[in-house]
Amino acid sequence: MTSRDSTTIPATPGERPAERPDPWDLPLLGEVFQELRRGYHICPEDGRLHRVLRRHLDDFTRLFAALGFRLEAHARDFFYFHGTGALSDRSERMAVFLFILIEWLADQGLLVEQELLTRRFPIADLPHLRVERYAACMKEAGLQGEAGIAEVLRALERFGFAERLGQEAFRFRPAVLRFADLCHQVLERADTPPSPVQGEDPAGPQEATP
Amino acid sequence: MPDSPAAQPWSPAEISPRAFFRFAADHSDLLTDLFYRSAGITEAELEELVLRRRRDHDPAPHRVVAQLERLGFMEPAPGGTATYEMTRPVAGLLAYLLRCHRLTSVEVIQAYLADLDRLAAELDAGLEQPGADRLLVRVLDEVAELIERIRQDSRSNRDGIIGEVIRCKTNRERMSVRERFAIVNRLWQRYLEPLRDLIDVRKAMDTALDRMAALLGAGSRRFAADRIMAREFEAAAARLLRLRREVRRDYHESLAELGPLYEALRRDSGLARGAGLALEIIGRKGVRALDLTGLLALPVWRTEGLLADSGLLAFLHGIRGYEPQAAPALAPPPANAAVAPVIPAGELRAALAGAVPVDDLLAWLVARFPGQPPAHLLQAYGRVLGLPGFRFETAAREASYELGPFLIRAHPKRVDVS
Repeated sequence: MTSRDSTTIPATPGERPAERPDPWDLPLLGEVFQELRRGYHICPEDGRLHRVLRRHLDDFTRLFAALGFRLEAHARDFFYFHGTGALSDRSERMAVFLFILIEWLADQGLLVEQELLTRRFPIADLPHLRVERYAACMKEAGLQGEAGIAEVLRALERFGFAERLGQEAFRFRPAVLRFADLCHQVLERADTPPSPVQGEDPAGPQEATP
Repeated sequence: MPDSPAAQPWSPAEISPRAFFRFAADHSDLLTDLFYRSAGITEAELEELVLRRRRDHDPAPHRVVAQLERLGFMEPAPGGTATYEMTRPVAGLLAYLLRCHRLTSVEVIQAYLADLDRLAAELDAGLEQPGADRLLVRVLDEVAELIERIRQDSRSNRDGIIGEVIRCKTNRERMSVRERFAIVNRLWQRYLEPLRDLIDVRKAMDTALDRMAALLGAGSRRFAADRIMAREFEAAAARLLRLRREVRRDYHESLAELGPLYEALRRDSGLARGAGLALEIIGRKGVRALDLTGLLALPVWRTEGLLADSGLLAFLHGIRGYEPQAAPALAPPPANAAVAPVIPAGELRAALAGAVPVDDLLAWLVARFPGQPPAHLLQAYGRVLGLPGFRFETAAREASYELGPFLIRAHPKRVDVS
């Protein structure tokens, strides 16, 4: 470091080196770091935290990378730390909860993504315990009864995927689209044949290519 | 209907347009009902329908039924016993009026392409042949009809696609995402693609239209002196130009309607299929089979070792802005300086064994080995810390030691036998 206030980015030949601010002077660094480190997903509705991240994304990314953290900027405009997730089964529980909800919404003939992002979900209306197959999946993930639902909702809220609307309902935040990514990843994995012998195509009918 | 279908075949030449349209005006509701019964209707059902739609001054139902057949609205269905269906021209007219569009598939477009090629070849031959004006007029008539048919089909595809999109969006039938995606995907592949083929410059249809345009231009020039013939060619060329303009517009409008819905349903269909597959795998192999934890990769919460550690945080604040300096170079020892011998290890161990417990190891070394240079004392200090058979405790407080010209600060080490 040549001075306390600025760092020089190496320039390509013939180009003036650009000045960038001292990473420690990044606005709201402490708050941003605290939130991201605990797995929280920072969305536009988080206001200033989201604004500073978007404005100084490169600097934050560089600083956090130097500290050993991988900052991800999702295409749908939210930010999170990509971790290892090796020590917790909360991910599995949240994922199973969302898989059930997505399938149920699709079976209702609704536009899933739109519903996820705009709908208010009364807890009493959730299908997770009402449909036997869904309840079995919840049990497989270690979730039983209303206590299991409450546990998942707490986790979803803690990681910034959802927001409770009083005791009776909740809504999803944009970060819930990470579970949509997860669905696509599951599908992609299934589309990659593990062996020459394969049954019916799990991906369903062939799509047109617009 | 009193007579058998074979006895009185439907013939358009016998129909008076005035009678046809008067009947249509008087029985428009009945005709609309019949139009939507695309699977056909039995004679008994037809009479019942007529009766239901009957007004005070209408003739008896059996007479209305007879008129339906005589005026060419209905005809016997092939192979059916006393079953009737709407004639194609009337069904087409009603489809046009009721905006029930028949979608044009790839196969139909391919048939148009073959027709275009055939007509182009005939035009080419007619233009080469002197005195073939009458033949050329007939060919131009067919060209005009084909162009109009393609134009109507293009418009019909556009309207049909938009209608289906609206149906899928409103989803009154409560179809699942997967069902709706299957419909939209089929629309895309089967009906939007043919529209694109019409305007795609790399496709055969565009080449065929180019060839036709060139022939019409050549005909117009060839008959420059014959205004009637020239006008025939110019009219066909104008139709062709309009066709190309409208097909392009139809395609873009269809794409604008279908594209976003296709994308939304494709995304949602992927979501639904992914979620369904995930649940199926969980049901068969358990939740661990999907490695959801690894895929989601949420960070693990650590409470130590990172900036949450207040001590480390304070330290980082303390060293904020610290600029490391190069270490000062060590001065070489004077050439004539007397170097004391190093404290022998055995002597050190024996002395310590006789002195334990020692409250402050460094202070003890300074007192026990006076005259030793600081380097030797620190060397002995380090060696003692590695000796087996002794136990060391570090004090919380700091102490200062004067070793020759140096002032050293350290946490005192208490030594005892282990």
